[in-house]
Amino acid sequence: MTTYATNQFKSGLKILLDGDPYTIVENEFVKPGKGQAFSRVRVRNLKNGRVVEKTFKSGDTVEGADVMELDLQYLYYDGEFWHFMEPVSFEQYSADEVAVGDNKIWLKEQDVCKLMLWNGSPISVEPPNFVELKVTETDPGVRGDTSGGGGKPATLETGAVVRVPLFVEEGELLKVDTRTAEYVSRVKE
Amino acid sequence: MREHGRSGLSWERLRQRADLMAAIRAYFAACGVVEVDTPSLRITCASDPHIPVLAVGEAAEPQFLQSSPEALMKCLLAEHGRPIYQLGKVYRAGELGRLHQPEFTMLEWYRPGWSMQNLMDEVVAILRLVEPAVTQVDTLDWRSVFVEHTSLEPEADRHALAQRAAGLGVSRQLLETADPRALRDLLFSHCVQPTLGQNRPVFVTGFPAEEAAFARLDPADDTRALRFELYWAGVELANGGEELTELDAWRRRASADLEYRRRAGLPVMAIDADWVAALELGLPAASGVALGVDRLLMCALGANAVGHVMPFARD
Repeated sequence: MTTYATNQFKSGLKILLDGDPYTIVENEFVKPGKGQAFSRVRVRNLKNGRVVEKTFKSGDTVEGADVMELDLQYLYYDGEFWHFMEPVSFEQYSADEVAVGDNKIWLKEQDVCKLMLWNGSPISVEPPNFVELKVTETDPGVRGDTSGGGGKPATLETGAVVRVPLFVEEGELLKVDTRTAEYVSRVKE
Repeated sequence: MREHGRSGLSWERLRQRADLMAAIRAYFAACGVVEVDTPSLRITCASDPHIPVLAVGEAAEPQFLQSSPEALMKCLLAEHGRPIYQLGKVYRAGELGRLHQPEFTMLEWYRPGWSMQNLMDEVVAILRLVEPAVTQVDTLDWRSVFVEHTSLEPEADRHALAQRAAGLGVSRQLLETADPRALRDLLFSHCVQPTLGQNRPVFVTGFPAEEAAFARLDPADDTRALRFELYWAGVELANGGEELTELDAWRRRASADLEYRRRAGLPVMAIDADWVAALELGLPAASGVALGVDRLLMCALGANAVGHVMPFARD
């Protein structure tokens, strides 16, 4: 097991605190005029994204968290788990509802996602920044309007709902930014 | 992140640094304080267990990069009894952060025959070199500010201190192993320090005898040290006091430091023979202070980190 002393702390380091994996966001060395030094760190919980502050005595050690990031291809959803595959080794991983969270509406089969694995199990799933999804439901398009002004909601094949320009029609393929849930463009098939 | 080959400072910043150094030298030249440059490399170093020392060279015969010029400046005081200053680089192992670099510029000076209060007034004169608007600097009592910001007396028992510290997001390992003094340091650095000198610089005095370092105790109250710290915008800028001149008391404190180092598994260095000799020869009554020049510049220019005012700072 890897352990880190406070003088090895730096942003991005993955450590284990109270049984949860965290990543160090910021590390500050704190010291009174005369007396002991401390390491004050801002850490983000990799399971729920919450950021907290924590203080260690200079020289204290913490366990490293066995966390790695993999690029995995999304295969399918079986009603309980989302299944992914490592494209070279074909090794499969399954992520639960907690790990996938709100990102489930962006998962399209064959797309390559970033998964964070802790002790071999997925704890977070990050979709590609841009995905191409088919419109399954939207109000009829307004002929001749290509301005993109105004807009209307459209439901996509994964269940995501985004605002699209009025000319977008059912069955069309759209490029969407998953970070902002915004329509980018139509895609010619 | 600093790019390789780049200092990370604009020409204007480099000029501001140079101007401050020149102003400090001009100030001391005008009042007859003589610049000295004692060695950075010695076979021993500061005993303070909370100052991580940088050992270099062969492990069998280590030498130490000095964390302050204190010991040899005291030799010069004993030998000549004249006011002196040193402006130069000092070194600390493993100190790196917003307010720390492993190598930084320290201004340390000694005034034979001066009281702590006289010296504090002169520290204000140095502050004015970078911030002419600073006219008066208030002095806060260590104990009072501790009580004000922690709602606890510094003499409170371990349990009470730990309970207060627990609310600050402290690691369990720290909470369970820290002694009362470490908890007090923790509360001071987390609850008190950030509030100090927010509008303008302030002094803190009245430090407890355990935190005397090598300052003398107050003859009117031997539970307090004649030591002061200067804070600006929550940043400790300077640390000084009336110097301890008695050899026996010095030996007791240095031995206690080394004993603490031994117990804590820290490097244990030899008793500083030069310092001992200076005390034997007779150190004149004097006040002395060390001031972090990079931090002073950082505060004066409103920079967020010392590395933003130092060329080639580490990330």
